[in-house]
Amino acid sequence: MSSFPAQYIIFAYLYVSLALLAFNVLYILWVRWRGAIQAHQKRRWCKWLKKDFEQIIPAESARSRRRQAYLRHRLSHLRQLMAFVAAAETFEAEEPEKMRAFFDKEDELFLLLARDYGRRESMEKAYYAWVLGRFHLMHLRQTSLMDQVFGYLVNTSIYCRENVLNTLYASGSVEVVEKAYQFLQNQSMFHSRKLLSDGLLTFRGDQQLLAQTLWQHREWNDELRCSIVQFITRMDPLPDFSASFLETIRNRAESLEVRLAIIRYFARFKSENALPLLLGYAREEAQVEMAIVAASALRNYPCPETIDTLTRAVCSTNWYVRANAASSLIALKAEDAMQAVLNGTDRFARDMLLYQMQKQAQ
Amino acid sequence: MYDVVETLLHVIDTFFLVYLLLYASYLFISVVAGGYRLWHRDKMSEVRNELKHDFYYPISLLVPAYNEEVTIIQNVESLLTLDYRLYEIIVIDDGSKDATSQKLIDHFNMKRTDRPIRRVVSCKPQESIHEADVNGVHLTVIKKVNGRKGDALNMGINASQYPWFVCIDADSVLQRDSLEKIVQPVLEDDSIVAVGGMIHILQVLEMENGVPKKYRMPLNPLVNMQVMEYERSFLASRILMDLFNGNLIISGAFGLFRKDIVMAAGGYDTDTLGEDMELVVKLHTFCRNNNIRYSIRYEPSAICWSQAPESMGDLQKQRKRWHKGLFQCLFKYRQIFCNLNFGLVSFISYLYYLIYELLSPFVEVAGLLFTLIFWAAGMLNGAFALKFLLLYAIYGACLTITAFFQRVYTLKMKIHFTDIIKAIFTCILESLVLRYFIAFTRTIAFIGYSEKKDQWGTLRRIRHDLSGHSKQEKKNPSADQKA
Repeated sequence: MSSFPAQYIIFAYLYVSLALLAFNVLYILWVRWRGAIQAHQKRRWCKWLKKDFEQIIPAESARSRRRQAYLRHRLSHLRQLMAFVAAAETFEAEEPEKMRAFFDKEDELFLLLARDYGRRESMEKAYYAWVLGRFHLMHLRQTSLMDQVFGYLVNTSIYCRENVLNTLYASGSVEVVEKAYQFLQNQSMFHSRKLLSDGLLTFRGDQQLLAQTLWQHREWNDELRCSIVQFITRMDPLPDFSASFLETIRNRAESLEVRLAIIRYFARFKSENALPLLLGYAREEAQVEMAIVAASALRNYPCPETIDTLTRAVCSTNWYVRANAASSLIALKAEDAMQAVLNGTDRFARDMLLYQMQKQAQ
Repeated sequence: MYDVVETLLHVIDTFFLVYLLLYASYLFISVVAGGYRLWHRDKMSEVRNELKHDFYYPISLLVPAYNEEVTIIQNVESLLTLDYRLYEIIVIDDGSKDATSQKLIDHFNMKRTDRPIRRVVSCKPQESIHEADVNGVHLTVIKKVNGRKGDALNMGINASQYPWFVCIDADSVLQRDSLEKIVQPVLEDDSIVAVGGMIHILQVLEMENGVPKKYRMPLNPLVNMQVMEYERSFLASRILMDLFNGNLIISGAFGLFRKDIVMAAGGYDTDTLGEDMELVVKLHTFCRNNNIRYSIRYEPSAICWSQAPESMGDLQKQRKRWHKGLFQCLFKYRQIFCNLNFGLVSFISYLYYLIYELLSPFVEVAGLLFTLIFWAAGMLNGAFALKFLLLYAIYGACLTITAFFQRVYTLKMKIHFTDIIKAIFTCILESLVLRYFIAFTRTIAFIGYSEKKDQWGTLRRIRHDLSGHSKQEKKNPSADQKA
């Protein structure tokens, strides 16, 4: 055998592996005990909060340096903060006014903690951002607190960004959300439009005003703008953005994704001014994506021109245009048109319409 | 003459030493990387670093089935209870000789339809299509002319209506949150084209309403060996390769794919046994050749439970098929070999699969032979060789046990003391005995290759009662699937 001491390398790997194994075993034991430890910490915080609620503490005393230093020291440890959150959630359910009063009283504390957690790794920042959103602490509207939380958006994970955005949505402040989106735009940060549009729907302030404010930014990237259109489309009640959207969709230089999102808006918001455009898109096979979505949107525009356009679209060479057109014809109960297709010579159109009718019957 | 023999001995000795050390190093790095990432992710979910949503993206679940009447109802019923807002299920019966389709049609009261299929990727034609809405989920059963698994999946892709699809085996079971977990990476990164899930062995599981309740390793050492093997692969190796977008395989039992990219790449290959690996390697090649920014990820918290062979015969058939599929895939995409355009995919992933998966059985068997030859010729330090072999076996067992314990980060279930004993015993048995048997099986996989290269073989299907008892059903009587 070679004189190379291969066995020592294997021994080294073996020792490290044993250490890793030991870590895993210890972790399993820690997980078992973690629940009990957390429950104990939560009970301690519950006692402290109960004592705090029962004492009538004047405002000056509430802000006493010692009390604040104590709370700041304890809550700057992640596990203690988690236990505190668990205790706060319990009191929020039992004594919501007192819990609210506590948070209002301690706004400076949460600002200091925001600075502390701002210096930590992304995971802890994300948790603190979540805490701020969970207890609606951003409504305090301290500029400095907002600025701190904005800092959490820089060089961070998507989880942290999402928690921060959710916190900002919960603040109910249109300017703050606008500023956050501008920040995402400036930093060219990717954040899924799905997350953005869903998050916007949780906005606690004036959603109409928010939609108008955000939509003004035509310079923003497609992901942000699509998410805004999707947000508007899902608002209830559905606002009237038809004029602005029509202007955007007529602009052929506009991105395809934004134009498609706008067509979906018009599928919900019926606008007579949009009808000629939708009819045009459904006929135009050159831009097949537009035709696909327009064929579906037209089901909300019952009129002879629509029926005529859909009857032609069901004979399209594109499968999805045929499918959507057939489905729309059925939704519009265009019996004569459907009969014409069924009796016609286009086998593909006939097959598609028959299938959609079967699907409807089920 | 003696000098020549000594030089030869030295060369062989050095070769095996380097080979073993490199493999040991790879395993070590993958277990460490896997452990760290899993621990980190567990901590993240504990501190609200997660994306929780009601609704992500609509998904089509594609279930290719061939003679699966034993397990198909259980499988589909588990798929109907997933915690996911919008998805459809498409079962593609690939010309079964048993009552796979009929069982589904009768059980779910399905109606025949004349659904037009847009055949973008090539597949054999359909014979009938049945549809039903069950618990708000649209279920489709397509019976088609036999064309093998890849062909069946292509039919499913053509029939699917959603932009993402998940392929899942007909004998596999998903957890309630599996879809939600496998789609989450897509929200994090818009360049993702595929996500692989974690596969666990079904025979160890008791499940209630889609939630795993108990995990107990059975007495069957073959099943236990596969449990350990899967843990080592899924909780270590794949996580390491994930770090540099280097995964070359997403298990056919559970994987999420972006439909438009798969269609553009040509869909599944229909003349290879390893269609799951072939598709992933194809995606790597397609995206790089077309300068498409892409990412193929692995999500360890997206869990699927899949049946493992319980008999030596079935295990041999499976491993032979896997090995032939691996060869076909690596040969077909040999352009990746030492190709700078593919970066670490070429210089780590491809080389790993070539040297330590495809060629390893031959190397191991050759190693045993050389050891015996040189020992017989009196040129071997027998005591040292034995000690080294034992040390290496213990090291391998230790790493496997470590990977086994890393399950605690993904499976929140108690590990019983008896399971630990079984795991340790299985690791030792695998290191000293079973791995050489599997190596030998893979070595002879190529005997009769030209005649049997497309054959899947017949496996015994057992309907695993998820409430805790295994019930053996009739053996699948059909003939082998052929091209």
